[in-house]
Amino acid sequence: MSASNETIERLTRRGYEYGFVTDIEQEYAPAGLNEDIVRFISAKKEEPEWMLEWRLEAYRGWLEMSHPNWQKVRVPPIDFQAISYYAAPKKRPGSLDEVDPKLLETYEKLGIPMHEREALAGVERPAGERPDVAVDAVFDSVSVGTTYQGKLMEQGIIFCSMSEAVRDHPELVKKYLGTVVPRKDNFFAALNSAVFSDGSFVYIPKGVKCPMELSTYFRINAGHTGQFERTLIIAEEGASVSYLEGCTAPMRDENQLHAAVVELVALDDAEIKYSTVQNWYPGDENGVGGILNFVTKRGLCAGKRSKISWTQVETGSAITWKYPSCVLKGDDSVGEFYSVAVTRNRQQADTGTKMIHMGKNTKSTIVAKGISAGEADQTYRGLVRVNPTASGARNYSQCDSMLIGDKCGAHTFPYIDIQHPSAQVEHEATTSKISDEQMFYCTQRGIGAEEAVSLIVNGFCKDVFRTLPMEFAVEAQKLLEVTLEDSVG
Amino acid sequence: MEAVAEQKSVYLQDFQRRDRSAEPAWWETRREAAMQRFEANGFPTRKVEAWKQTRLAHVTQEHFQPAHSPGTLGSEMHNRLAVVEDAVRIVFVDGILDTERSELERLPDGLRVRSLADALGEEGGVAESHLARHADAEAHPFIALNTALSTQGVVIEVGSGAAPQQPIELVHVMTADTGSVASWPRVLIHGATSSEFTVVQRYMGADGAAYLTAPVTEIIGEANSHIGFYQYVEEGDQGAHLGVIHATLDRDAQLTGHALHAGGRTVRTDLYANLDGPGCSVNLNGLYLLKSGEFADFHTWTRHHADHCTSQQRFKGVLDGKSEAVFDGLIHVARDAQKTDAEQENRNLLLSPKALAHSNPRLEIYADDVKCGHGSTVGQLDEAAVFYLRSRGVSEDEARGILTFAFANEMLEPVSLPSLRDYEREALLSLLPGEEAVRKLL
Repeated sequence: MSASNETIERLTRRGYEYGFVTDIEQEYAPAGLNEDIVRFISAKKEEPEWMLEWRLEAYRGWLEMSHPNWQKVRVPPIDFQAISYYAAPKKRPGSLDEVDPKLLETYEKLGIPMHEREALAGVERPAGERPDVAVDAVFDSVSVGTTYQGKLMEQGIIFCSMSEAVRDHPELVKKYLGTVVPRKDNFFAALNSAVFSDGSFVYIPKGVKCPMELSTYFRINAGHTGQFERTLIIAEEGASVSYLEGCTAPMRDENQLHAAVVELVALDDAEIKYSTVQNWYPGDENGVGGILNFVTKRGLCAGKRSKISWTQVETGSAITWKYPSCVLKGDDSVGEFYSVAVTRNRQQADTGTKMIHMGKNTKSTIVAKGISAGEADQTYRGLVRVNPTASGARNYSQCDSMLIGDKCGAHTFPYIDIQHPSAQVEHEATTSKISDEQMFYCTQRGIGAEEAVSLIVNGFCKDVFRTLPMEFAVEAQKLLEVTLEDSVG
Repeated sequence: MEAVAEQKSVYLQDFQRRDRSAEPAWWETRREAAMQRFEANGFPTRKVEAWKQTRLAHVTQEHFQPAHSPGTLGSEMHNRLAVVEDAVRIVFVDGILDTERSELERLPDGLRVRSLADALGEEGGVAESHLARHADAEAHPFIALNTALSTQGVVIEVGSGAAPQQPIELVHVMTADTGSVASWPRVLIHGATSSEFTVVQRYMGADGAAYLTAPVTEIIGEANSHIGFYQYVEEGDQGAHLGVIHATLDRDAQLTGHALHAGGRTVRTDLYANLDGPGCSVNLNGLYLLKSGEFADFHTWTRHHADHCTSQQRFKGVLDGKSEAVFDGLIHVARDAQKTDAEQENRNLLLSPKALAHSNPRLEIYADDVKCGHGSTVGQLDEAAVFYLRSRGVSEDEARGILTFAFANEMLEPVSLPSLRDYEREALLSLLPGEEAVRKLL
């Protein structure tokens, strides 16, 4: 593979596109973590007493837990007392129109549409323009604005920040918060439960199909802080929704912690599709800086014939450590996990999924594609469990890894625990590199080396990209190209 | 937790009490180090990844001590001492080398077998160069305990270029009076350059006795050696077996390994294979047959440290009643082990709704020009196949028996010693529903 040195150099310098910092007046919680900080965050968000108690209970649980060390990543020691757990722009907007122009500019730069366009009756959308997407923009610890709220509300759909949900819909929050990921589920989930700031809250009422894509855009801006968002999506009977999250952060030579919790609940016949394009700052080529992305994501297929589908494209973060999971409790429920994870330079990723089959005739599909380049290390870790109650359970897993360069690593640890004889569980994994034959085939047909690699890698990831909403699939493909280009040579 | 802490010190006390004055200094140092490792780490809790699915409570809460003298063999056990035809046989009873039943004399050319005690006395010998140098006490608590406490064992050497025709059969028997008895057999097998030989290691025990067998077998294959290794475990229904087989291979060496777990309350074997020289090949296959109340566990650690090596692993399990099985297989490919070709496969057949199978095939890969894959399945008998047989007048039980036999027998076919293969087939047949019908078909 001989892309010219010049091209490689040019591309290497390109680096991370979203590494700028927005200069805006912000207020912070003092660094450190104790009960007072938890109270401070709760007070800032004007939360009711029960929410504060809930947080404090989580905090006390966290104190008794220790940092997990079973994952196959080298985590630098995290000083939990050095982090500020709350950072927010000083000016709080009353409505979307009052949002600080600097913030709007930031989102404009990131390519996030923050204004609502009036849909005109009878007017076709110009070709090539993106369809409407409702966006909730989270900037450090707070949501700075949510678009299309009114339009969605017409159908009874609630799409707002978590703080608003606690204030305006306490009965729903009380009923579902912590039911899928309990407060003391794990070390980082407990930490998140104690100090969580904004994430999105989505409620789709019975029988409603959400008319547009919902999306949340997470941006870390402030230094010496962490982001601890919490997202909760509830799809009532027969409802369906497609949700996408994206994330970026400035380039800094410190490691910043991002410990989120995402909970999904799907009732009878409901369907939730959750897509992630994760592009946190990955650190520089020497492994300095970058986001530590330690996230707990879990969906509960509570109802019969419900379906939860996770799609993730992971290209950023210094260390990624997350396992979006499905608990298939309802009979005939379906869980899906599609993932493309790309690591390069010194990035590390330990990611995968859990499929817990509890209901009868539950099905799950896992397709995980890992691409490791440079000196990166990547692990697929998964669990498929079929409980004694899950007769007729079916699982298919496929994990493929591609290695680019001879200093990277790719590992596969799929765990399978089967407690019902009628279960059919299959797992396959392969590890390979781009073969000389493939390259020869392409170059012989006049396709340049770099283009050929991109072609082959895209083909490798096609199974996953196909499951992304269309516009995001294009974006993901571009992102992949940018991420990988300088790895070839 | 307290029980575990206590257990640590009882083994330390055992270790300190024993008279070790006759042992050479180098061995003393290695034992001391192993004991310290165990003291530091203790028995693994369920938080230790490699042990989280192995239930050890009934082992860690008991203090197992070596038998003072061997018990008496029942006639049934006696009849099963010799299985492999025309073999050089070495017998351990209750963990003690039975010199009368063993053939340490009249050995074929190129083969040397000595008791552990004899081999330790030789200065600069194979024991000094290799014993406890390969199996890592840090990684495995029972390697540590065996190294610290073992007094019984054999050292087998096959000379350069030698290819003894006779297989070597090591038989370990635990008799009826072995409640709380520990057996720590230590075996070192050294195949010199271009040697070729076969070793069979069989374990059996009387039902009702709650003993512990924790053997460690270290195999060293020098360049171009060809080693066949067979393990057969059928412990008593209360017996625990926590064994380790550790192979280290040099350039172009070949190891063909086969293991069968056919009984015991808790049976776990850790198979380590280090491919240290270029061009090595390892072929492991295993079968576990479980009845109600049994637990079987295979952990394999195949480590490719050199280029152009191949490894293949195939493990199958048949689980009946309320049984539990673990397969945990690791393929590790080091940075410089380019052109590695590694395959791993695990298939489980659940015959009962109460059986539980864990399958953890793992790949850890640091080199880019490799071909590695693994596959894993868990399921029940194909109902269409059962129906096919039923529609041809075969009874339900017989149909299930035939299909189960076909599933498991595939793992017995590579066994190159006919006498051992027949013996293993008997163990399989005795577990099948509709046994008679399957026999008739053979």
